[in-house]
Amino acid sequence: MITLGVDIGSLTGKAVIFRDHEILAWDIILTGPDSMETGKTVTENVLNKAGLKLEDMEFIVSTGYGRIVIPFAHKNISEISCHAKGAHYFFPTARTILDMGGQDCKAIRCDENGKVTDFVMNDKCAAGAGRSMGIMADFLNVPLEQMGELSLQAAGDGVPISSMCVVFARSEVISYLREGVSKSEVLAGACEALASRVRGLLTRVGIQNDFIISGGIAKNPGVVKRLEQKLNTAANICFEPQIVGALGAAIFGKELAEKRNKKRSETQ
Amino acid sequence: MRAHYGYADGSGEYYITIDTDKCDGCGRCESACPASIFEVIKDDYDDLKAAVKKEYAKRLSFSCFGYDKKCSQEETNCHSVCEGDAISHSW
Amino acid sequence: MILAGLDVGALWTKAVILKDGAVAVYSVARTGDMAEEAAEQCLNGVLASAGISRSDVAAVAVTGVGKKLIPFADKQVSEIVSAAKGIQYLYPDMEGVIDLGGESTRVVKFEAGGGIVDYAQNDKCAAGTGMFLDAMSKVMGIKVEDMGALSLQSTAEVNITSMCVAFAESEVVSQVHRQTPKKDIVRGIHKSIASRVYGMVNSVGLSEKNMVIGGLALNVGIIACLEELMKIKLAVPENPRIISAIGAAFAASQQGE
Repeated sequence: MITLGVDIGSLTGKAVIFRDHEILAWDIILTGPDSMETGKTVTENVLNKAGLKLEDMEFIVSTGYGRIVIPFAHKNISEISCHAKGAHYFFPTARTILDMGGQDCKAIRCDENGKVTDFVMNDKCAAGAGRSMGIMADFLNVPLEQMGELSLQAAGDGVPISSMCVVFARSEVISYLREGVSKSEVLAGACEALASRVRGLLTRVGIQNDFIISGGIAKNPGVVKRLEQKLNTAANICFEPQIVGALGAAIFGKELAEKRNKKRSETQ
Repeated sequence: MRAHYGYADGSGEYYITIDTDKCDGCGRCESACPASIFEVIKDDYDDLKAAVKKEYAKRLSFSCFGYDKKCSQEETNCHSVCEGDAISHSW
Repeated sequence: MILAGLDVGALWTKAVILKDGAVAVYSVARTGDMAEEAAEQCLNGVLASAGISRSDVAAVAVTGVGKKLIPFADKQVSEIVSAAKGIQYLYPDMEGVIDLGGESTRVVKFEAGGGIVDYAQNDKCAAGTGMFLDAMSKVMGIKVEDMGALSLQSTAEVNITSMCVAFAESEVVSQVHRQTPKKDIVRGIHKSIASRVYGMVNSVGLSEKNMVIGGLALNVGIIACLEELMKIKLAVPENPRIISAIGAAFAASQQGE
């Protein structure tokens, strides 16, 4: 049984081919201006990697921001459910999932079967999404990938950044830099602020172990470590945190295909 | 499943929570809301459930002023018409 | 009685002298990095223009985001009270004010010539403020002063769905890439700001008797979009930027010494 999951986000498009019980191939690309094209491209990429054709896919599920424009998908399912499903595959003991991409942040609670029991998604305010890190990185002239490590070089919580709004925070940062505060102190403050905000979001759905982090933010140790400290728990991160949604979609595909096959055999 | 629609920004936390386990998709909230922020849609399991319209989630506090401020003074509001008591406000 | 009012904003500092129930002189200057200095200079400027000295003034009242940085002021007045009182001083029939500032916006409802009934204020999120307009004008490469007039030339609907400045910047950039006519994008930007303000207007429930003040009140595009949403004609006083400074002084005189 081979299924395909496609997750089109605002910044990246992901695809995963799932066979029986394992990931056969996966791919990530940057989302272009056209979601449909992005869907086609990332699907072609992953099919090439697996050496398979679209017709070999028994069931195709799309998810994410651009899920309705994937014409070859048999069904589209919300990214919330797909994230829970995907996280559950990597960590069957997963009960609380934090997924943060560039433009949004989701906190999901699920049960022992990976079914969603609580969720909240915040996509209104850049301060609560990965974008805030991107803005800070540009502003301080630090590559995004290095921000986390650099922030951990500062002892403690860094300087307090009281404004939530990234626009207002910029003025605070300007004053700090003028006073001679080091970049790592500022970064520490920014990561600390983001971790606090995220904790607020998680509190809304309630936090229960095991705690999983997925999405781009999982690659920022500055935020991950601080969050672990605040929640007093370890964060589990899979080998490629950005494909969790697409994987979940592919697994849903498998379940739906099995249900469909069962119905067909019953009616015959 | 409890779905929290809305956001938190520098000025506060604004969420409307719909408990889909308690929701039967009757749609009374849709008609009761003066700002028309609710809709009834099929969820991932193909059941009809109430939700906050996507375009309102990001600007929730501009369209819904919070339960205490306005609608609780009215006789019919989204809380009162819901038989399952599925809807709640964080502000 | 002679009164002095100071409004120390994030970008601009305003000072007024009230004499015999009218505005005698006023001045607007950049706040810059040193708010206290800017306020001091602004105050001295209007005192000189009015031909009076500090001792002639019964009270110096200060409002605005930098009010706490001005130790030489006699009274600190909140921006909400200042906005309301400023309009009440000049237009006693009014029942509401919409204050569109550089970094914050507020809507205040009051009884004609009386106390404040309700208000809504946004000073934590750049959406709906002058900073939103500033950021978009940079992205589009159009001067802020020209944005309003350009928006009025728009012929097609363009919606900027993000409320957040950071996300809206990306939306505007992709619209520009898509070669959407600039005037339509600019109108979309103005609509976004107006809708944020409109949300506050609705939550407070303003009557028709209100005026728009603050720096953004000079932007014809914002006024047009707000009028469309509120379905009434809006009035902007002459010199909308100094109204809060007037209000601070007026409030100080009403509170007595």
